[in-house]
Parts: sequence; C-alpha cells; structure tokens
Amino acid sequence: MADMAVQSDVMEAAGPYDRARALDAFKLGDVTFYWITRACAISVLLILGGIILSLIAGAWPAIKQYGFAFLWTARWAPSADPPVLGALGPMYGTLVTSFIAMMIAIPVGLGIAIFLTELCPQWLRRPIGLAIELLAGIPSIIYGMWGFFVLGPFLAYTFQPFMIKLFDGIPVLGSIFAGPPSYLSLFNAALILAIMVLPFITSISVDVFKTVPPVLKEAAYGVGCTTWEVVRNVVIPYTRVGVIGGVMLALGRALGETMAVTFIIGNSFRISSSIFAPGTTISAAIASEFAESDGLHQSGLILLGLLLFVLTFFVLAAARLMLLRLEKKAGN
Amino acid sequence: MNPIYARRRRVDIIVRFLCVAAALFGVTWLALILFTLFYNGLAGISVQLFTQNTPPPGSNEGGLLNAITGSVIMTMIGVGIGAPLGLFAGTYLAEYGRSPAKPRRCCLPRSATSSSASI
Repeated sequence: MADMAVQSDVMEAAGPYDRARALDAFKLGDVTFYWITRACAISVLLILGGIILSLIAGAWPAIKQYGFAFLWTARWAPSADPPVLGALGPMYGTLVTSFIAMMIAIPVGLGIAIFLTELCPQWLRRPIGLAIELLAGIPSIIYGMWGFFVLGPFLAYTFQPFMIKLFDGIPVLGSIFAGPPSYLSLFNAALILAIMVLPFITSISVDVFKTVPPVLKEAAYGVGCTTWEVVRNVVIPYTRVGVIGGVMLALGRALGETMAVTFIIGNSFRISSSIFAPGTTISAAIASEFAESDGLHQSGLILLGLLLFVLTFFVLAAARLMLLRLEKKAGN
Repeated sequence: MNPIYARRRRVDIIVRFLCVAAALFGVTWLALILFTLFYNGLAGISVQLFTQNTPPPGSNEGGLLNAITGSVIMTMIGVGIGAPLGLFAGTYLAEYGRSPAKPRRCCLPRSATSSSASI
C-alpha cells in the first residue's frame, strides 16, 4: 500500500506536464498521418485526372477533324488521304465480345459458386476453389496464345460448323451464326474473355454466399425447401449487391482486356452480323496499331482510348445505378 | 407423389446437375491450359534458362535471365510505389472520408478508384 501511495504521488507530481507533452506528440502524429493519407487519396484522383487530360490532349487533333461523326463512321482507313477514321467497328466489337462473355460467365460463375458453397463435399471445396482462383492468375498473354494455337482451331473444326449448320436458314439466328468458320473471331475472343472473368464472379460470389447466416438457410431447409429454392429465395436475395459488384468488376475487366483479345479476334474493322467473323475491339485496335502510327492516325487511336474510358465509366455507372435502384426497391 | 413435389424435385436435380457441370467447365479450362503449357514448355526448362540472357538470332544457347530479372524489378518498383499510396488512400477514405456532415463526400475518390481498376 505504501508503495502504491508513493508511486501515485510521483505520478501526480509528474502528471500535468507529461500529459500535455504526450497529447501534443499524439496530436502532431495524428495530424501528420491525416495529411499523408489525405495527400495519397488526392494523388489517386490527380493521377486519374492526369490520365484523362493527357488522353484528351492527345486526341484533340482527331476530335477537331472528325467530331461526333467519329462515333458512327464504320470506315477505318488511316492510309487514305486524308485519313478516314471511325470508331463504330471497334466499339461494336468491344460491346459484342463483352456481352457474349458476360452471357457465358455469369451463369457459369454463379453455378460454380453455388456448387462450391452448397453442393460440394467439404474435402473437394479447397481444390476446386483453388483451381478457379488459379484461372485468374494465368497471364492474359497465355490466354491469347492458347486461344490462338489450341482453342481457335478446335472451335473452327467442331463448334462453329455445328452451330452454323444448326441455325442455317432461321431468320435472325441464322445471320448471327453465319459461316464460314474461322480461327479468329468475335466468338473465340468472347469465350476466352468469359474464361478470364469467370474467377472474378466466382470468388466474389463464394465470399458473399458465405456471409448468409446459416440460421436463414436452415430455416428454409426446415420448412422443406430444395437446395435450388434455398439458393434462389434466400441466398441470392441476401447477397444480391455483392454478386452484382463482382459482375461489375468482371465486366470492367472484359471491356478493357487487351492482349488475349488482340491475339484471337482477327483485327478486322469490318462490322459483320455473324459472331464467327473476325472483328476488333477498342483495346485490340490500339495495341495492334499504336506502335506504327503517327499524326492524325495516332491521335485517332488515342481518341479510341478515351472512348473506351468513357464507355467503361458509363457501363459501370449504369450498373451502379441499377444497383441503387434495386436496393431502394428492396428497402420498400 | 404429389405432382408439385415431383416438379420441385425435378427442378432441383436439374439445377444441381447444371452447377456441377459449371464447376467441371471451369476446372476443365484450367486443366487444358496447364496441360498445353506443360506439354510444350517442360522440354525447354533447364539451368540455362535461368542463368543466361536471351540469345542473338541464330544462336542456340541462352536463356531468359534478362526477361525474368526485368519482371522482378518492374514488379518490385510497382508494388513499392503502389502499395503505400493505395494503403494510405484507402485508410483516408475509411477513416476520414466519411464525415457525418457530408456522408457522401468519399464517393468521388471511391468511384474513381474503382473505375480506374478497369483502365
């Protein structure tokens, strides 16, 4: 007791002075930390703004030359005099490949996520989950080479002739699946894209599916729901926002993917109704032409890049808006 | 059995089957790609690959040392710049960005960062 009394005496004597100093030191550290983190957050914005500004500056000659006609001109003739440049072909290719890729990747990715969380035996979960994550770790150049040397020839001899024969003569589908089959096509690129974005959808869906409280699922099973009914009526409504977030991430990736697509899409600026015809995407066009371009041609390519940026931004913003509306609806 | 039960069960079995098929679909791609890589690439792995630079055209000796070192250096510098910047920016958004007076203030940096991931 005496010991403690002595100690507290000492502490009291030293108290006011030390406390002020310690508080000052904390305050200084805190303010410094605040400004460092703030500077970092702002610099991220500045970097983004700098990228947009330099894109606009680089694209300015092309903007002045073509104006809005750039958006709906289908001809791409950089060696004509004066060069005629139009973004319709690459824009069409970007949207079509991303759309087909998402049509394949969303159901398959969700299916794998449901399999991993609801159906799969425990010992098999980790290996399969790991395998799907590994798909995300494969560099895009390998997807490109593999698509070019293995997948392209395979599809051209098996899947494409089958689909062409199947839908021959049917009004709309017949022209979507029109021949001739080719190694390099919009469909091949979309399929590779689907494989590339699959792990994004799956791993995010698995993560959010795991957050569903077991009590909810057990209650649903308890009243006699089948696995599918539990997933449809409990798991998916509960995790909708997270799932859509994963899909958005995948979509952003699909819109901007460059290397793999450049290998297998064929780099043709022509717009064809068939998905088995070669095409091009914005990023593929830039990657394949930028190195040997100059003047107005280069400026046009930069304008394409700016367009991709705007396109991605709008697609993601639209997805976000949809999400907000969904949330509001669910709230009511 | 009650036809409604039978129908529900049928739908459930079909969906389960489709989920298993989806998992097989995903794993098959990985297996195919890895098989192609190993089948064509294993023969090329040797000590030389890691110890010598890329050869001039026409020469049969050499490795990929310069490419490997380049990747490593580039990755290290990239992570060295990006990791602190991203960590601090994220800390700022989480800790200071959401003030009660302006709850939506952090939206601009956040949407900017999420959309810049897809540039």
